[in-house]
Amino acid sequence: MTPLLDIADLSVAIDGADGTVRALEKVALRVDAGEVVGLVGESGGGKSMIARTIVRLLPERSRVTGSVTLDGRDVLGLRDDDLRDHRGGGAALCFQAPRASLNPTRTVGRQVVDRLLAHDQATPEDARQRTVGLFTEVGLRDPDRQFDRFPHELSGGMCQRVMIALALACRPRLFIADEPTTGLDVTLTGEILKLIAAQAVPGERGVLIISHDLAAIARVCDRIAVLESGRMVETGPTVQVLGAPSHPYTRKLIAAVPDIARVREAMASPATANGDPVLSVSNLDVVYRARFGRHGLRAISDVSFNLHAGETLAIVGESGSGKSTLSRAIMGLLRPTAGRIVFEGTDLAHLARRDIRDLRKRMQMVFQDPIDALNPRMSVEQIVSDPLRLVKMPAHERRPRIEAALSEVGLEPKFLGRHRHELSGGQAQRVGIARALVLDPAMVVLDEPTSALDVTIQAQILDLIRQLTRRRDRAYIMVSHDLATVRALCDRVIVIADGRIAEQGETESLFTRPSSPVTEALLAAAPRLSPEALSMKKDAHVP
Amino acid sequence: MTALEASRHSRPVRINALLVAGAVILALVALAAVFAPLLSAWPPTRIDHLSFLEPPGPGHLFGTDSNGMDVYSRVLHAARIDLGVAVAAVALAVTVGTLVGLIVGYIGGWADELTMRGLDVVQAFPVFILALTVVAFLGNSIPTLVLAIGLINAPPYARMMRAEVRSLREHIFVEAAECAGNSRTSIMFRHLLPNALTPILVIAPLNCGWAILMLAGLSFVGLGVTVPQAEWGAMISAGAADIVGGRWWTTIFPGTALFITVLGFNLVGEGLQQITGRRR
Amino acid sequence: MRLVVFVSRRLALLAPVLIGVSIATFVLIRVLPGDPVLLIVPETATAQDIADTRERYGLDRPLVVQYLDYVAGIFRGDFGSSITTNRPIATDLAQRLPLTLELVVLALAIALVLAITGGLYAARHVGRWPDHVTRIGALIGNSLPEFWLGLVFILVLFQGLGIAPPPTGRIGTGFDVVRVTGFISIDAALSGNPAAFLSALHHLMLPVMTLALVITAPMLRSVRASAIETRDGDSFRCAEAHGLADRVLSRAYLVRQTLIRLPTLAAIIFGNLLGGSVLIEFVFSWQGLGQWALRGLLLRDYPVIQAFVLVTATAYVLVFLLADILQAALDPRVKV
Repeated sequence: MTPLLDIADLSVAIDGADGTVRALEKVALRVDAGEVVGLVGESGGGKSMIARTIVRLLPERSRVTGSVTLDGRDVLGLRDDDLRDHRGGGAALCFQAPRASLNPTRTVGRQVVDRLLAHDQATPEDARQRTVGLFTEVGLRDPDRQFDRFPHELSGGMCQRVMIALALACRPRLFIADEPTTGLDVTLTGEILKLIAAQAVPGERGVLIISHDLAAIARVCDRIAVLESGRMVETGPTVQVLGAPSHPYTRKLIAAVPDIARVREAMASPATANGDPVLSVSNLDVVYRARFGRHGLRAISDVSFNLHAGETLAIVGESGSGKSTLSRAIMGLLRPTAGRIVFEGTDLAHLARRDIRDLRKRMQMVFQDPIDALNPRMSVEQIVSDPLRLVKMPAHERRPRIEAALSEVGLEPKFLGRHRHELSGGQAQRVGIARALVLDPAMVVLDEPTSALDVTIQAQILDLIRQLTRRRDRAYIMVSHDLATVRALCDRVIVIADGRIAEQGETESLFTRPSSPVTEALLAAAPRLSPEALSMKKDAHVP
Repeated sequence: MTALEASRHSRPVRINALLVAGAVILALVALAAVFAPLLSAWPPTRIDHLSFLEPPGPGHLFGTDSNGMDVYSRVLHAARIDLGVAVAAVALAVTVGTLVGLIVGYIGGWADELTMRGLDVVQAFPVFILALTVVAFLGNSIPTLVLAIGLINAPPYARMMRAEVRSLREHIFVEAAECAGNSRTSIMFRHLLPNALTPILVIAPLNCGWAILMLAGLSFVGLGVTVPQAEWGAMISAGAADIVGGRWWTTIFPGTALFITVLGFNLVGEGLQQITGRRR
Repeated sequence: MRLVVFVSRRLALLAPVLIGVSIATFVLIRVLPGDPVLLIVPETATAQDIADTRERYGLDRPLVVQYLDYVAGIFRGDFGSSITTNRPIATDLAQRLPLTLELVVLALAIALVLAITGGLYAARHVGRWPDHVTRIGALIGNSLPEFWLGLVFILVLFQGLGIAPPPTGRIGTGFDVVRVTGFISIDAALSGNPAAFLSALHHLMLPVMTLALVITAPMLRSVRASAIETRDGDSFRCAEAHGLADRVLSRAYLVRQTLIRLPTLAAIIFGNLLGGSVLIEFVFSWQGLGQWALRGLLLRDYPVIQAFVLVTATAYVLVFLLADILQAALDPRVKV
């Protein structure tokens, strides 16, 4: 059987002002009709370049060699009408960042109609009806109403569904989805991936999913292709690639997936809950101020918990559950509406801004977006020394302090003069952690410290955090949407939903005997690569 | 692209042709201004009683005007007033606008609301008409002209700075700076200002061009610098009457100087925009 | 529906700005140094003369009362009288405003057409010669002083080549056009005298050309830049990747997004035009609003200045309102 898509020996070089970049090197890839192929690799590895080559949307100054054949047609040689026909009708690409890729000035319905008409999939008379049908197919609620709405009126998940409908409207032979799950919740991720995978029809249409998230897409892919820096390092059936990876890079990707079934590393000593807590939160309410007569948004209601020295506490919830609001309230970045936040004996809920500054010597925070958390105009030395301005310290003592903090997070002194654009995501996060540690605080709040990083880097940063939490003199709060990552790190877990505590308890008991449906849902949605999870995957039409 | 994006990808600065061309023009104009007395045989206001409206020739390179003054010398000396007033006015505008925008953008609330409504009213007047009115009443001494042109050009900077600060405030590093224990003043001046300044400094050269045009326009209608002081707009105005008689040199030379100087500022501005990735 | 809500909201926001403008105009002229009364009375006037004059013009009453009087007058169409000519200001305005509008509106219309077609054309040929010509042209246009450009045109096209009329006003001498609308070219057309109509158009040529050339430059640059930005953006790329026909692509996915920012820029340009028209009227002896105001400014005829500033600011604000509405119509993301 000839494959639907056949890429052989594909190399792409892009001439830029700073020299030529070899984006792809002798890449081979094949997708059959009815098949779902996952193309994985870290960002910058050239995955999107493959998609762009298939739809012939490469930058002007790129040199392409090799062959791309779709349905027997030489894609690289197509011109004019044939090319237009191929784009959409042959291969339809679902763009990354769907909201930005939709026309902001046109209703989403009209945009689908444009595609339908371009590929003769509808007449002007039945276009609306066909579009509504497509909207239903991709799972948009109230499809008739969505027709006349603009992209900015839709949620991220809805935009993704519209994007899928746009690609389907062209009735493509090959359906390509570029990072379809970026920015989506875990539960939504599953739904969207299932929807995409369902587009593969034997004898008719193949699906290519491009993603950096191996764990997420493994569940729906028949085969996996792994790309590292423009080279294809491994391809094979999903079970084989995951079960017996042959290339070290693949093994690295797999090892980086936080596996819920992995046994938790034993702690050096159990946390002691004796003495006064470092932090005591009681009956905390946060209501966002109302605008123009609307009701205020209640982000946190009636939250109470204690945190002791040496303890590591996880606050887990889906996005929008209020966990970020909670951590920002604890840090005194926003003022609670009611309740107490007692840190080392001082209630900061009612403290003046100036006095909260004093407390910052003892409590620090690490942020989700490691790059954005660093001032672009400051060197690493300036960034890490920023908190030192809170204490009077002779200049000659600063440098050793800064270097000590950097070495604690595994960075050499050569990083001192760098700026954030010269750092990788992982290095930037290490700098962020060093800044939090430089004053040797009693409590550190880690707000999703790994979720913005590539998977292999995530593992390294989690390792670093694990080492830090082993020193039992400091309390940590780890905020996360991902139960798997916290299991290996935290003594206790608080599960939060709709601004309330749904469940709290010791980590192991909460994992083995969840009592709240919210916890159960989170546990079920967590990505896993265990064999039983893979067998759950739809494999109705593996070729 | 925001300032942050641009700085995040700060490439090695490539030589930008527009920037270089503009810088060369401005350097020449500045040199002409500084060395004007050395470059011209006639003082700018000396009257040559033997030649009125004499065409360009060996005695007077650019000819003489209807007062018998040497056009070449006046064109060179005018660069002093035109460049000086424009640069001083824009410096004033940038300083005032930046400070106001930074403060109201960061503290927000009613101070912000009030300032913005005030700016709405000020900006409801077309700038040149505002300049005409203010200068007509305040008088036309050089410091007054700098003050008037500077303050009239400040509101856009205040707005730009405020917008920049408000979008910067959404970035995590500002929150991180607060967590690190920075005071509000220190957040404003150490963390926000350096990050917000780029777009403003990129606009400033363009603004110098407009400021010169504004000064020349005011002088042209008789409300700015007046004869016998040498200023391009005033010279063009004085020469306008000679044009119908075909005596072109009294307007063409100062006008060309004015045009080239403004072009220099625009080239620099455009070049800066290109290398900071704000325009292609 | 959305636009109706939008327009009514904007109209409501307009009131405070206009009140602010009227206060600012009123206060500006009174707080700036230079007692207007001293300009009215002869140099030999005694203190008693000055006091009498002050009383006659109502300048002895509290500022608030003066202001309210002034506003009430405006609503009756009474802007007071010129100090120097004693003519009612409303009469002068009615006579001169159409002359200036003819100039400004025509220049803006021509500039918009040039900027949109040129900008889109340049963006389509990025990096090739039509693009380079456009960019260099825009740079030059942005750097030209309009008053000087007008003089150069007079020198070349009237003095040199003789294809333009002398810069001596709105219409050739010897044509007596009955004023109906106040817009001379329309009135000339209505008069049924083709020679008068042609002369009116002929006199428009140079000043309109001058203004249009200068203001086209910034709009041209903006249209070109946003066309390129849109074309390189994801939404255009996505439509392209889905094989839409060129006609649909450019109409629905390029032009509209490109033009979103134009109305606001055009409104700012309109403000520059109002300022520039003062200079251009001076060059061409246009006898419009700008030249009238200039005389008032030089003589510190404060009722004239006040009326001029108020009228231009109001026109500017109204044009901005129009631009906002246009932008909201083009861009569904604009919040109503």
